[in-house]
Amino acid sequence: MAIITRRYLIEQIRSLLSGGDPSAGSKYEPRIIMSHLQNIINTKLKSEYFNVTLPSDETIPDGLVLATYDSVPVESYKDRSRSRLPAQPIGLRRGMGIFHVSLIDDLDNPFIPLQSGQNAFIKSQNFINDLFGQIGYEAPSDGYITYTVDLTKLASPISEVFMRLVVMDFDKYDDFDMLPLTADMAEDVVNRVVALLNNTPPPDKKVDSKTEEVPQQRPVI
Amino acid sequence: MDLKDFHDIVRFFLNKEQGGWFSPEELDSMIDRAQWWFYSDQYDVYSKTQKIQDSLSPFVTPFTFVSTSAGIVQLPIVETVKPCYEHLQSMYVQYFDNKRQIPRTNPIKIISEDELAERLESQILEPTISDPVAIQKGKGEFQIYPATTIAGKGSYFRRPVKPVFVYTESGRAIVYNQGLSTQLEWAGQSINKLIIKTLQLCGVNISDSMIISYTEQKDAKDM
Repeated sequence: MAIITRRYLIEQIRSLLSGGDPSAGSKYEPRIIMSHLQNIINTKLKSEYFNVTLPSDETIPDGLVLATYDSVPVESYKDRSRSRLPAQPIGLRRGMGIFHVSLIDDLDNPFIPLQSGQNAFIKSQNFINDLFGQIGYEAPSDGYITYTVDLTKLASPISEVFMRLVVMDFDKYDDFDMLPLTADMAEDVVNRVVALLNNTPPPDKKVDSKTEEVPQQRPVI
Repeated sequence: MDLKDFHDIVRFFLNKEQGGWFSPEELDSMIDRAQWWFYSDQYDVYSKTQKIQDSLSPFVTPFTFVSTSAGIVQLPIVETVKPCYEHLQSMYVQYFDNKRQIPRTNPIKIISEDELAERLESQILEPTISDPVAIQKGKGEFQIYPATTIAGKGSYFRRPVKPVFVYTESGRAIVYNQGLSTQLEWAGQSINKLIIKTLQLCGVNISDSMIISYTEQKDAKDM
């Protein structure tokens, strides 16, 4: 079995939609197909988490796609610091979509995830207000996660962190990289993209066209 | 088929039907018009069947290109110089995959001018060096986006060369010079149709219902 890559999935989809080899003029553009693939894979990941993982009393999104980002920049923000998420993760319970954030060289000590506004509450509690020296981060807003301290102003300033997100981020892979898709998932996502695109209307071909035109396709021999 | 044989067959029908006289130059012009007519018919249905594909295959011209720094590719369009561009068949970019150290290709889609602005601003389909698009600016002239130097390959249909019947006159006799003549380039299977189209252009009344229906039936079958 060939390894599953972006190109592999796109070829399968285009072949089904075009009834063979697609021509250069095909309306089914590879990058459009890829964007739909990404959406559908992420939707499927979420349903897998809620329908398969959670009912088994497991909360860790095991077996789902974890996108790894080795060095996500940290910037100073007001009296704290923050990082822009490299991709928008799947929305899971308790912010589980942001699966792991840690220092680049200390992966076994992940930062502590906090819910929005929880840090203010913790600060008012004498016993735990410094999180026992640990670093926490609050759930994302505007695409950023906010750390409980300003990492850039520590004794050893930190400018980048390590992150794992539950998401299929196609930008992390080129056309020929192996995708972290389970073998059983490939057929389903291909079928769903084909079903989605199969009903798209023919493209407009002219500026002054008042009616839809039949797409120009290479005649079948 | 040798051009002289072609001329002889046409003359045979011309003499039989109307007894008129066409000089070799006039016949060459008629044949050239007829071959354009046929070329255009065949182009409309190109690749519908292998037979039709074969008939235009002599005119398929592969090319390699390196666009200018402004992304322009100009194919040859001087009619008297072979090859002369007529219709684009395909164009693809060649780029190097640095990660795997191998060359790769990607087709270049020719889009309409009204689609261009949308494309250039597209978040998903913005043209890139490895996945560019192009618009046609003029005959044989293509503007590639991103507008930069890009290398690639492709193929186009060139114009069929105009046949030239070269001869000398010896008294009243015409002495054909095969070596200096420019022959037709069509494959044998297309010659009969060319003859019929030439005769039609020469004014031979092929409205004879039997001939017309026969040729139409043949065409329909071929397509």
